[in-house]
Amino acid sequence: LGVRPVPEDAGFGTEARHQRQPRGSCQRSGPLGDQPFAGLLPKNLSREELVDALRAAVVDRKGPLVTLNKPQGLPVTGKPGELTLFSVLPELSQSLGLREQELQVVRASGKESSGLVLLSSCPQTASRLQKYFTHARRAQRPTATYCAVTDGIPAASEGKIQAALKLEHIDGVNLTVPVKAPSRKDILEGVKKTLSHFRVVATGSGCALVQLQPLTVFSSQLQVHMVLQLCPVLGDHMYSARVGTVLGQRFLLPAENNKPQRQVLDEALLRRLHLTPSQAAQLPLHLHLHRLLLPGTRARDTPVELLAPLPPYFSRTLQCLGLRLQ
Amino acid sequence: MDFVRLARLFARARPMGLFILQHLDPCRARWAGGREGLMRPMWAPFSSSSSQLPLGQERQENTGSLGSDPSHSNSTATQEEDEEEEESFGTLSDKYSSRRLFRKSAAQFHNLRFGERRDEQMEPEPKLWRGRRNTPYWYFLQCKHLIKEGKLVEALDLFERQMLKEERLQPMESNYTVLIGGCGRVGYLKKAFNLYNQMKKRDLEPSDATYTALFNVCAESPWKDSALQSALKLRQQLQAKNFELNLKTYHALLKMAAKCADLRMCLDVFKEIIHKGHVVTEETFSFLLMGCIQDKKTGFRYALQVWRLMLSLGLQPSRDSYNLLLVAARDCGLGDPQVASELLLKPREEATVLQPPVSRQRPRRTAQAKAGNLMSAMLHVEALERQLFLEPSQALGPPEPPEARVPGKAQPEVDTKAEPSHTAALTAVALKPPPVELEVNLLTPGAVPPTVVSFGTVTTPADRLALIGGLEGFLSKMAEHRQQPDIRTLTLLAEVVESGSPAESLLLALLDEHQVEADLTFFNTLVRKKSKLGDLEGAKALLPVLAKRGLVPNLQTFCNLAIGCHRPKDGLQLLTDMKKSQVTPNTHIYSALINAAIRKLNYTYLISILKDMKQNRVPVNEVVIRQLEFAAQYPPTFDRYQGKNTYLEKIDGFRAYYKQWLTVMPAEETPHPWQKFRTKPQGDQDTGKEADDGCALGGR
Repeated sequence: LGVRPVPEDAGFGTEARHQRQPRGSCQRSGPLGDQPFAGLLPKNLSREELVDALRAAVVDRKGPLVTLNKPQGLPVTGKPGELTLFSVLPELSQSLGLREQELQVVRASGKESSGLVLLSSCPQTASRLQKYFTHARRAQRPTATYCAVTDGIPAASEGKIQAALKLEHIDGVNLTVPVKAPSRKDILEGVKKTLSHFRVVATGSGCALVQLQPLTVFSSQLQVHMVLQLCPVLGDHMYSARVGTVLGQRFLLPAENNKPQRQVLDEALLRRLHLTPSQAAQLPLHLHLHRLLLPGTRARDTPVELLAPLPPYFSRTLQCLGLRLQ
Repeated sequence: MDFVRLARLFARARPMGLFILQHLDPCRARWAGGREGLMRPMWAPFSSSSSQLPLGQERQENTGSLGSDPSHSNSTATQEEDEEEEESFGTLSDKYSSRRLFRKSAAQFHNLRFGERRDEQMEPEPKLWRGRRNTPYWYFLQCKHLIKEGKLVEALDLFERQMLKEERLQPMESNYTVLIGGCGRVGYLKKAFNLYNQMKKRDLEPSDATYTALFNVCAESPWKDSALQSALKLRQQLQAKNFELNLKTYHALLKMAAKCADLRMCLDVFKEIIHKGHVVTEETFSFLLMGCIQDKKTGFRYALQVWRLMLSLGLQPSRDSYNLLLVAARDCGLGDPQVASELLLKPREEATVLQPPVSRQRPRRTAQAKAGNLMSAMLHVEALERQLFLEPSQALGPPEPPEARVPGKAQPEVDTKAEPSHTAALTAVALKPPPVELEVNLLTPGAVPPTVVSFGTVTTPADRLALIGGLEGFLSKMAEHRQQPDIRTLTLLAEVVESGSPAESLLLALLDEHQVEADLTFFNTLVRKKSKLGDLEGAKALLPVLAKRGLVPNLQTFCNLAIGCHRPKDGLQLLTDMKKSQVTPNTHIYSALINAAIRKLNYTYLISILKDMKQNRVPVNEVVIRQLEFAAQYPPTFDRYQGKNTYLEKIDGFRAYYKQWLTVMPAEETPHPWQKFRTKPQGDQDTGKEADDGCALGGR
């Protein structure tokens, strides 16, 4: 489990080479200036290149199940013609040697986050797993665990985050907006009560490594929940502007008035991360679907745990901030 | 040509005519601009019909007879056309002479003209009706809907322009009443009485709701004296007409008396309510409590006495009653301690008052029983009135009559009286505070322990809250009457409890205990209290609590934080942080910072604030100028030639900068309370909205 296959492809080899540099060259700013965020998909990727990258990102194969470690920014589904994970599944099946069967998505992290994607070539297995996830959600048992780096340290080391959320179209962008005291009519009109568990794993340099377990599914739920805790996720350029600071104290700004804007980090944090302000504006979202629980082969078996290694930029951030994943 | 004719018509009733003429052209222009091309032909019939009106009236004036009005034959129509052509070349001398004739017979001619107008409005109605389908009732519902949404300007415009001028409908009484009610919500007194006069001119009979709305507008008016005069005049008119008010109208009158007059007038109205046979409710007593609150010195004692009367009459206080009691504890004093001790701490008076309610529980079957109840209630109110307005010299008088009335028990009472009198005299001189162990709750009638003989120093709202049970005692009293606190109750308690006490932190727990949804005003109150104590750290610590409950601070939150920014570092940091968060500091923020700087006599800090204000082009209002004029004064013992003084040099430096600063700063006038309700073009409405925001922030 968790053993990364030997890289064979030239593209992934390039990424691997970059992957080695950050660990050994944290103190040198020259090379970092060119590639501070290793592990991200390059722009204007072709279908063949995407298939190759995904094949290289396979973490585990066991029976009909295939586990991918999805890079940040790749959507799972999208509009026709858009390059998504779903659109290249046939090619991926071919390259993985599955001739007759076709892969389908069982569970995946969102577009903006990175992490584990579970695929299955057997429809019966996929259906069984879907039922398992549905039962777990109803029983309020979390099956997915995310890791996030937050700007700010939550006041409580662990707890629940409950908020009613809704999608609003603001200035041409679909944004998730918290609703205070929703009425019954609000619930009928698309407001949903959401719930997440959070636990602070490590803190340092004014940041925290937080484990998040969503118990409901809503667009950008975890990012908005951390904003409501006044600790936005590092690299969140959509919702972090809703947290203001006055006299050193953080507070919420009105969600309706604030447009998404590049996250602003203070000088000390930028120095520790060895980033220039323009690089900070390109900081990727530090939200990673790290662990997924699956049922065992038999009903009495303990759940099986699937792990997705952290992206290189994520590990680099943890190293710079002195945070350790236990 | 039509315009000239209209001008001639309305010139006779000069002020009214000019008023209409001022709005006629904008209405027409708006109509033409707003409608599509297809709607333009419809305007022509209206135009022709409107032109017919003055023609007919002028003809009537010339002939002076009403005979030709009912008949409309073809030959008459032809004659009208001929006369119109002749009149277009008409001589001015004829018009002037007819005007003089009109003035001489003002009363008769006025009646004739009014009758003519009504008759003539019947004629064009069939034509207008085809183009429109709206009824006066439809307009009533539309105006009601707009007023509920707080759009009084739109409602007035819909009524005056579209209903009266464009559709030319005859309004009903309810059309006027609903608009007067809308004016009443915001205290727009001038417009409300204008509408009232209009409906009287149209021979519409005002209803109970009309008078209720009128008294309500007097109660809510920003100018109390003129509102009181208007209300008293209206009341006299109603009395002259022997108009019987219902309880709702009496409540509005009582509210007016509470807000514009004093408690004496409230009691006069209250006695009249009882005299007329109305059954008083806890709402009636809520208005009496409002009257008590107007008296800042003695209002708390008055409120307690009114409270006891309400309980003795068997009425259950409502949540509003409890909230008003908290307002009294916050804003009003106890008055003279001796008088208060005599009236509130003596159990004998309570026992006397408690006896009559037993008789009230009898079934009311006969008129005699009802009369008895009336007499009983009236006696209660009169006794209350005498007690309310006792002078300190009369405080020792009341014990005498009960003694004389009961000669058989004279000796035991004398013995009992001697000891309390002696002890009271001693403690009155020393003014010792009552023992802390004793749990005193003046809301419970007759429950005061006999060892408590007088009030000590009662000066702060927290002291007065202690007299009504403190935080826990007050809330348990509410529970006793099956009342749950709402956010207003808890906000008032937050204002009244002692700062830094355990009760203050308990308030946050009470929010969850009573499942009250926290709002921003509650937290703003807490932030303000901590800031006023100089506890800026404590005030700031409430910001994460706000976020935890999903609340977003507003300008008032920052204004309350600014109160606590005594150090230049804090104040300037606050301004910087607000701008960084895209919250624009307004005049009130700067005023709070200026106040903090003046209190510390930190002129460097003060100049920094003024520079920031100038940099952001924030307008100056009267409050800020008054503050700065005070800061720019030299101390009274100033002697320029006595010697060098660093402090005076700082004042000189500030004065130099201040005078130069004042010449370049934009100024802001205090907005008129009714400006935003005037029906004006679009630009003025925008200005009105800004003024509205300013008012909302100012009226904390």
